[in-house]
Amino acid sequence: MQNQKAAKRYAGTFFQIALEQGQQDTVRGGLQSVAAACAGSAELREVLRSPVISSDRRQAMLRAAFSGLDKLSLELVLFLASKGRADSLAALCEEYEVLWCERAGVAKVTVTSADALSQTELATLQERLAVRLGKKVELSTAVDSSLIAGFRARAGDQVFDYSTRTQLEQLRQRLTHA
Amino acid sequence: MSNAIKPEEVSEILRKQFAEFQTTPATYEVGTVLSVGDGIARVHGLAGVRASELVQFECGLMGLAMNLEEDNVGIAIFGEDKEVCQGMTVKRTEKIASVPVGEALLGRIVDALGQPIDGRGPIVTPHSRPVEFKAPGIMDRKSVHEPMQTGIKVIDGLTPVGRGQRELIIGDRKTGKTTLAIDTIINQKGNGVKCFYVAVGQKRSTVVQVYETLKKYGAMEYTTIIAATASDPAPMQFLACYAGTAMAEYFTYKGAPALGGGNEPKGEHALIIYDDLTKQSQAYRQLALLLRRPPGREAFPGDVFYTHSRLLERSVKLSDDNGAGSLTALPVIETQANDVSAYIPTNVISITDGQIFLESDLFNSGLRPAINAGLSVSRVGGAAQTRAMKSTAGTMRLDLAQYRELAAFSQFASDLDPATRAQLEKGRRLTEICKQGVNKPLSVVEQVCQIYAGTNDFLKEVPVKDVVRYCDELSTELRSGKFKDFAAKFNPEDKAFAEGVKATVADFTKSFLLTVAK
Ligand SMILES: Nc1ncnc2c1ncn2[C@@H]1O[C@H](COP(=O)(O)OP(=O)(O)OP(=O)(O)O)[C@@H](O)[C@H]1O
Ligand SMILES: [Mg+2]
Repeated sequence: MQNQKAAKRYAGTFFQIALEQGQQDTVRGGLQSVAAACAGSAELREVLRSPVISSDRRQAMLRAAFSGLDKLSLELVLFLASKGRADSLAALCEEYEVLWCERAGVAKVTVTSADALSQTELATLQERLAVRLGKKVELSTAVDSSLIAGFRARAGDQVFDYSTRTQLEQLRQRLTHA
Repeated sequence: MSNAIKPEEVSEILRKQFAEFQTTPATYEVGTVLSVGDGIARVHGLAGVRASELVQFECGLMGLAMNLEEDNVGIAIFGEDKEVCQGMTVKRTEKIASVPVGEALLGRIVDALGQPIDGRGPIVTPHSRPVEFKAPGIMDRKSVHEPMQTGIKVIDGLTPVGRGQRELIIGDRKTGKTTLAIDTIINQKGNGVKCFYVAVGQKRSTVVQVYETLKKYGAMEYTTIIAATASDPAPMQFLACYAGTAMAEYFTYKGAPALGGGNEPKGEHALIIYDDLTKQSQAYRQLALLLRRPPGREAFPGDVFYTHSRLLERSVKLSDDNGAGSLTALPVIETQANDVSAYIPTNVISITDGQIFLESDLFNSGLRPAINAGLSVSRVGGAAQTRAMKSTAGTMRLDLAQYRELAAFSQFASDLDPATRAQLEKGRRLTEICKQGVNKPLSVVEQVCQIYAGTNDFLKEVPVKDVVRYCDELSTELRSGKFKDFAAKFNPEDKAFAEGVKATVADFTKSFLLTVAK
């Protein structure tokens, strides 16, 4: 919880800086790859978290690991580490993404469907969702056959549920409780 | 059930239901469980959730949103928290916690969410009410003026309860608190008052006993038991009182469309018993501490006073414009070693309109019900008494108080003047008259006659040990014996009631003394 709060503050400031330099999109790309690295590498997470590693060493290691990053992103990551907040890095990336989406008017929607959807279907869906949410939509997809048929779209906390499983469940509720 | 069921029709109805269904896609808001333990889940997301909204976990369990914080929501789980796990999604229902209400609940045992737990099938009712309800304002009320007969001599005589009043029953463990409440329910038979018994944090066996007793006296017909037993999760124990009140309010507000009630010409009368609020506040304390709300005195959260005041403020006598219904509450508080100055007892004493104070010393010395007449008060008082009772029992409180003082004093005195001795003798007999057995509520006429006999010196000749028998036999005669007709015609509001009572009591005393002499 404490991490989350700190991450929010840092993300806010970083976003402000990136915005001033007109680099918010570049930094977003950079932080996305950092987030992916954090998610993918247990060693990296260990380096970020471990109290045994000294601050200097950690910075050196991060500098080496993220040498491919753009200049500003790298600076921001190193700055965070120098403040002893390296363990909030993943949370910070998330928060940055939230801020970026808000600013750019983008809604990230996860579509879970019973079967994989075709490109045209996805395109239609994207269009419809964009109208519904009044924002640009970035789709990511997942397949879950337990939905039986149909799909479920989740934008933030909001869920649009067109899956057969939920409808059957509602039908059951209505028949047993009404 | 006279019509034969036609399969085609059934299929048609079902088909219609299915057809309707296809067209309703679900949109809802969700969150994710961050952590869970001790019956509390912390949830990320659910951005739009409102305080005390019901939410549903993926596993089907329901929860109540209690704490809305910046980055998470604290949710009390109605059920086993083992079934909820980290990462599970939680759905908003957009419903404030509400319970089914209506006539269908009478005779049933339900839990804090109004679900039946007596194994007698589902409760079918078209009505429901939110568990939290804002107490009506001053202009919607009327002052309490009709008696709520408890059937217990001492209470109806000394600390009368009116319809719409809140009278606290307070005392140590095993002093007969529940018995008073149950007897009051039994005494409502045939007068149309609907009763609700909320059992909080009690043993299941005790609840079954209460149920059996009520059934035995035919009182379940107009009673609902709301049970959140000791083994139920704390949120249920906390909620049960509010749920029970909502069920009772359905009847009270039947004639009050302006206050969101029914459209009938008149409201009904309801009685609710919270047994007991000590357990309820402990459940609330547990919840509050687990939700990390700051603890105050005795580790109770700061708003424990408010939880009780908003509950008890819902007791009401509605004005004639609102159908004149009423909701009377008899909250129960258990004290430790007669300490009424602990936190919760003082709170509830200050909220209620009086208290009936039970003492274990009195109970053990055989004075049952063990009501301490000196410390028990009713702030509504005479306004809620029948004329007959008011004038008969008027001097009783004073007589008893004088007797107690004298009795303590005269223990050291060897010879007493006749006046003092007479007063002592009278007091002794009055004390005996106050005794009353379990599940034996008395009608108004029985009470008036017995108290009349005591306060008007009819018992002078009757030995103290025979007074209880005197009362019992007088009751029997009034119910089914010689004075049956008198009892049937008795009007407690009649100005000249005393003549009839006097004649009856004199007549009975004469014949009773014959049996004593033998
Ligand atoms: N007027 C009475 N005459 C005789 N016995 C009584 C009377 N009132 C209560 N009792 C007996 O006292 C016992 C305790 O009564 P009861 O359960 O009502 O007390 P309580 O205060 O509710 O106890 P608890 O603390 O368990 O809630 C019961 O066995 C009951 O039968
Ligand atoms: Mg009890």
